[in-house]
Amino acid sequence: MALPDTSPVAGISLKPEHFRSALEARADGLWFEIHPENYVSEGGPRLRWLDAIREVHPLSLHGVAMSLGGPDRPDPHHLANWSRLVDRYEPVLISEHLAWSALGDVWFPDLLPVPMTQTALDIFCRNVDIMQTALGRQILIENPARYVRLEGDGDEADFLAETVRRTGCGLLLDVNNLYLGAQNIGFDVQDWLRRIPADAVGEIHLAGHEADTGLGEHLLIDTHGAPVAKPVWRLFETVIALIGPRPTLIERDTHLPAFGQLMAEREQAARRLASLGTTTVAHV
Amino acid sequence: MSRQFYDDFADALRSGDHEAARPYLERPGHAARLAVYCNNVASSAIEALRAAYPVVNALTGARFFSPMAKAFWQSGPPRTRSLTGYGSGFADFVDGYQPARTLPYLADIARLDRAWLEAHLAADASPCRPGQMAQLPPDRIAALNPGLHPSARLLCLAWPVHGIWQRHRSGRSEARRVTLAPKAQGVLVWRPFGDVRSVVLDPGSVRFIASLDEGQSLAEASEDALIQHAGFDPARAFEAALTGGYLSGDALP
Repeated sequence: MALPDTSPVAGISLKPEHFRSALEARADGLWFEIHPENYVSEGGPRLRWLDAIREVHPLSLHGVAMSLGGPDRPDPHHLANWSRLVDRYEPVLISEHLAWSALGDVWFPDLLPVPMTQTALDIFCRNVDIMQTALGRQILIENPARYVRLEGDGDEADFLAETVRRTGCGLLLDVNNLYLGAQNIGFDVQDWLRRIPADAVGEIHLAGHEADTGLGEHLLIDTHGAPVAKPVWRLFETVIALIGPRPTLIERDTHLPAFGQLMAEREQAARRLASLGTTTVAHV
Repeated sequence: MSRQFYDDFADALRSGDHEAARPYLERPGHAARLAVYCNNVASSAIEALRAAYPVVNALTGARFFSPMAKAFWQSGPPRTRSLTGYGSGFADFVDGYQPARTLPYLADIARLDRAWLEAHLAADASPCRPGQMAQLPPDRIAALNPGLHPSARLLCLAWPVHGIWQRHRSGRSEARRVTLAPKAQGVLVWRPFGDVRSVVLDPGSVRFIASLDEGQSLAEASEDALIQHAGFDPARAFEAALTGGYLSGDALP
């Protein structure tokens, strides 16, 4: 497959509703991100669309189901699906979450909270290592959207930094998660940013959140169902001023707007990145 | 944190009752927040089923479909790490779902939705084309056992609902009262090229295609269908299979 030679600067999460628009879109540094779980079929139009899009735009794979923070080892069948997609689409970036979502053979389609203890850290690092070894590549780990603190929770930034140190993985810094986590459970964003290894950040996510319908502003939910909020844009500026620009992605999963609106948001991210210099893929 | 944490948390997710997870919170007063996880997990499964069974959803309405999908998820959560293809047992579940007992044909609608999805996701493959057969002498053709295209799904429905299903599927449905009586209906759903297609079959063709699917030769399948259905026309059925593209393109000379 001939691959586009552009480096990713500002991208958009790709939805089937936008396949044609994505294929036809042209912009410097535009790239698309998919959840590999949505592309595990044997065949069909969805894979063909992605083949075509991959010929014009860089792609990244962003997993939601490896359950690296769970007590079990990564599922071999799911690792095999990942390998197949990595071979087929040669993604520029691959990532997963500090979360769990499976127990035994049952999958809970969500990103569940990992107790940030020493025991959990050992298991998490083992699982990150298994995934990186299986794929033969470094993965980026995304900081979680926090709604509660679990008994015995240690410091999130320390947990992530230690994972990077032990496994050689990189980080996917989700600015929206950072913002709403600070609001929901109360931690110091500036302190968090100082304590993570900045060089390890290989990608940034931006998304919209919504206040919980029952609990209101006391609980912000990472719905990916709204435009990026103003305070999240401001935090994004803080982040890139501090660590430098990184490939940045606009995530949107629900209340999907027209493709043009996502391109406009992506343009806002690109402008902020450009005003802070050239984007580089972090060397970690 | 022990395995017990994950077990208890999983129980809370399955039941939707977050009390089981409360002891693990630093601030027990935040237990209500666990509803975020319970809701996400259930609604991911429900929305995946709604997308996979669009005509069932359209006929029953979202307010009927959601609790039915939730009950199905609670009885059989995803056991692979993807919602693509989740819900293979949904039609049988619908068959036994008490609130749907006044809609006895609904399970057959679900079977059609499922066949469409499976055909849509099946491996890409070229079907056998008429030109490939043209070179062969008739006795060679009769001895071939081409099998079905990997996307082909043969259904034997108890209710003749293909027409209703197809109108909804193609967005041509209009609100009107339809009288249905149970009557067997054979349907083939397959994706020869880009798009999923479906066709109603006569009983002889159902037998013919089922035999081919079991690996019998064209001659055996024709004979079998003729024995059971005197009116069966093998030449026409073969022609339909070739032009429709539901024979496998593999295993041909």
